[in-house]
Amino acid sequence: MTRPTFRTPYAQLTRQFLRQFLENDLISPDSDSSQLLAVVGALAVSVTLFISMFMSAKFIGALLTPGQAAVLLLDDKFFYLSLSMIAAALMAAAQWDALTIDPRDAAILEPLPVSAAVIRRAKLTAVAVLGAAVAVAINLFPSLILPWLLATNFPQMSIGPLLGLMTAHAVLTCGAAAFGYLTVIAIRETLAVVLGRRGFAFVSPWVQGALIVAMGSALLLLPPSATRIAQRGFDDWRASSPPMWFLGVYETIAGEVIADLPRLEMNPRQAATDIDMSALYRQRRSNFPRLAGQATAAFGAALVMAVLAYLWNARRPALTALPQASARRRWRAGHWIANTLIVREGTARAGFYFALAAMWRSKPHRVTLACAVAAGVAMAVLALSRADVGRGAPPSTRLLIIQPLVYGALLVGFRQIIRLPAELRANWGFKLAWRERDRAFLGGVRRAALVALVLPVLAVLVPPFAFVIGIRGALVHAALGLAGATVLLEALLVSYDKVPFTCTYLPNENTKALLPIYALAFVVGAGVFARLQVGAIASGNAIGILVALAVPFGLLRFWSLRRVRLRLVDFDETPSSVQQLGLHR
Amino acid sequence: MAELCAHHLSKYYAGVSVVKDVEFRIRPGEVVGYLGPNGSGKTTTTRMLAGLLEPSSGSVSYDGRNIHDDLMRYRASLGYIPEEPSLYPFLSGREHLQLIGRLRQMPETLLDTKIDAFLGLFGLRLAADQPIASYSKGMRQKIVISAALLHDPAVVLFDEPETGLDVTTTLVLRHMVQLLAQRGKAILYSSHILEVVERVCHRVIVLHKGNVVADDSIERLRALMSHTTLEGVFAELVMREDPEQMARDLVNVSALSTQ
Repeated sequence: MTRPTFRTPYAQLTRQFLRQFLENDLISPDSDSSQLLAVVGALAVSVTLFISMFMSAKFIGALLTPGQAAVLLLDDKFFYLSLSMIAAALMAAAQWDALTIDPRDAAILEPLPVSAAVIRRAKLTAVAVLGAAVAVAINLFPSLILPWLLATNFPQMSIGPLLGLMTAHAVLTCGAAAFGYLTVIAIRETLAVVLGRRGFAFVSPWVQGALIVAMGSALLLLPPSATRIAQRGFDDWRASSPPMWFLGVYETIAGEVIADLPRLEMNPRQAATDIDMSALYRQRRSNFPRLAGQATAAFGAALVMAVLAYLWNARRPALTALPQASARRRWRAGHWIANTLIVREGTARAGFYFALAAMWRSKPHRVTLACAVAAGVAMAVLALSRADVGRGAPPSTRLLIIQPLVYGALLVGFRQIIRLPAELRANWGFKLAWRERDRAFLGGVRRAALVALVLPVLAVLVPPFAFVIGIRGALVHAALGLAGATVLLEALLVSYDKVPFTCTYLPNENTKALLPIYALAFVVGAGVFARLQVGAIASGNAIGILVALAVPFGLLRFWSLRRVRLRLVDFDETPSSVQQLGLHR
Repeated sequence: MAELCAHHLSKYYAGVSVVKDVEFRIRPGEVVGYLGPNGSGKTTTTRMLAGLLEPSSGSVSYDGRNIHDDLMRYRASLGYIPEEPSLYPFLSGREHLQLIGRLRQMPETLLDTKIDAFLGLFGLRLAADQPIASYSKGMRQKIVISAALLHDPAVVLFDEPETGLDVTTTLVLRHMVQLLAQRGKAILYSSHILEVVERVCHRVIVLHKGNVVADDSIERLRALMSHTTLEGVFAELVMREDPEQMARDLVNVSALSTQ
């Protein structure tokens, strides 16, 4: 008698697709996915726990009145709804290609006697489970801690409203996460419907990159945006942002829990504050039903679009009927210019072209760079919000810091991506052809970063800067920016001993510990450099700064050349089994 | 002329012996067949000969020197065609060959000429600028063979090079191996296809469970073991099961009722 099969194909496939979300070929092809899950889970929990405690500290022993708390809570609720929505959307964008059945899955699963509908349903379930897991991980602690700390401030709050508030917070923040997640799926699937497979294959990496940049920037800009919601009213850009719609639902459902609490004995000053704040809250209350209506409509639209487009794309009979990759056009003029002016030697050329290919065509590298762009854009927006950008405005530190912040973020991202192997299994080709010319190869990679990352940033920023500070000032700013980027890149690569994009990735735990110091040094350095540029542009003497930059550049290069390096590059630094146990350090 | 020698090569993984005390030499102009069933240690030996894997004991020498004393110099004269060619999927075939040629510091004009010629001869000109991700196994194998021969190596290690190749290319490969040997290259040809080994190799080494069980010319092995074909010799040396009986057992297992 044979044992029955307990798992249906649907359940087995769902489990398999969920495991694939955790696949990680960076450390080694055999790396442990449960370890990755533990790290990601712990990170999500610890970060949200920290944020919840930090955000709710103001409710501990502050003797707030219900009116004051209702107004303050609008900021917190906006923050949590936005955080949940953006984080879920960011996760969906990062998993962009894994949201549907990829060619490898199709090649394995199509020959099996499992219907295409079951495969797609399993994938859809796995995607939904991942989204739900993200939503729960982000919102679990805020849903418990925020209402609980509020209750400590208001003894008149009974257990019923407290539980109601917890439930409302959990449901609405998870709803916001679902909206963010669904919106990304809707965008992806609708584009696939509209553009067809070939067109979608062409735009897909760009759309994914743009979404990561947009979401990443929004995430970084969230703390300064989530302030004084009630005071600023509902007429600015935030009123039309999706988190504000969900805030409308939140307040419609559970706004009265705090705002309408019975007032206990208050001193005259507290009473006056409570009257003012309650009036302000009541004044804003009329907006909430309208915003709630918008949230319902937007959620419904995202859901319907995602499902319809997904089903439309799923109706294709063959999963593997994917378009053949078209040949890349060889830009002969570009190659000639690069080979003649930028990289004249063979090994440097190998580094230059390999870096260009890896940074744009390899998914993990592209996604990491998109995150770096997001950080750069967020910092630039913050700087821009405080700068005078009127035509003919004098150059200021707040304005000129934008450029070093953006290219600096990109170069820091670049420093990170060169540590990630483009395809660990393929590094045997490097090993065999390697001639120990690591400096020449790294030189090519360095020039690729300047050409592909720094020069586009400088070129994009010249026209707006020309509008504000004049053409001459903008050109001087760009030239100094290029010099500054060269020095920064030299500093970032001074201790790099490996072959970029090829060697085993080993996370450097010291870097994590020193991250705040690095971040501070980066911002301060950018500020100082911007200040020097202000002086140079105003005085018309940029040569002095160029000479000043040549000194650290020379010192860094000297140090880089003199320091003791490894005799041989170790492409596979440690066996995967050792890496999983963390025994390599 | 330089010889490639394996001196008492052994390799252990977690205490399990994969290759035991393997000893042979390959002279310039010689094609040595390396035979053995699955898991016999052929690929491990080949990877040790390529310097990609360090032996647990023993050594590999080329031109009288341990290859690990000057690995770069050795690899400059080495061409290696692995069994499972993993390549960078986002590069095109042309870009991969350019990368390898540039790392090997080949002059650019010569490199371009060779790449165009290889791609043309292997029928890959139309696919040359497509990403390798879209290549079939055979197309990838052609790129790997081109990359291995790009710098005119003195030693060529073929590890089951016929994998995925069509009939014509397999025939081309067979002739190519003979022509390379005529030009003085030392060649190790590891394969499962006994017919090819019989035709192209001057000598065969048979490996079984990590041990060399035969190392001689095909004619002498046939004479010694009283067999007319290499297949017969191979079967007697390494096959412990009756193939017909095993096939019958497999079919029977497949037909087991699920009721």
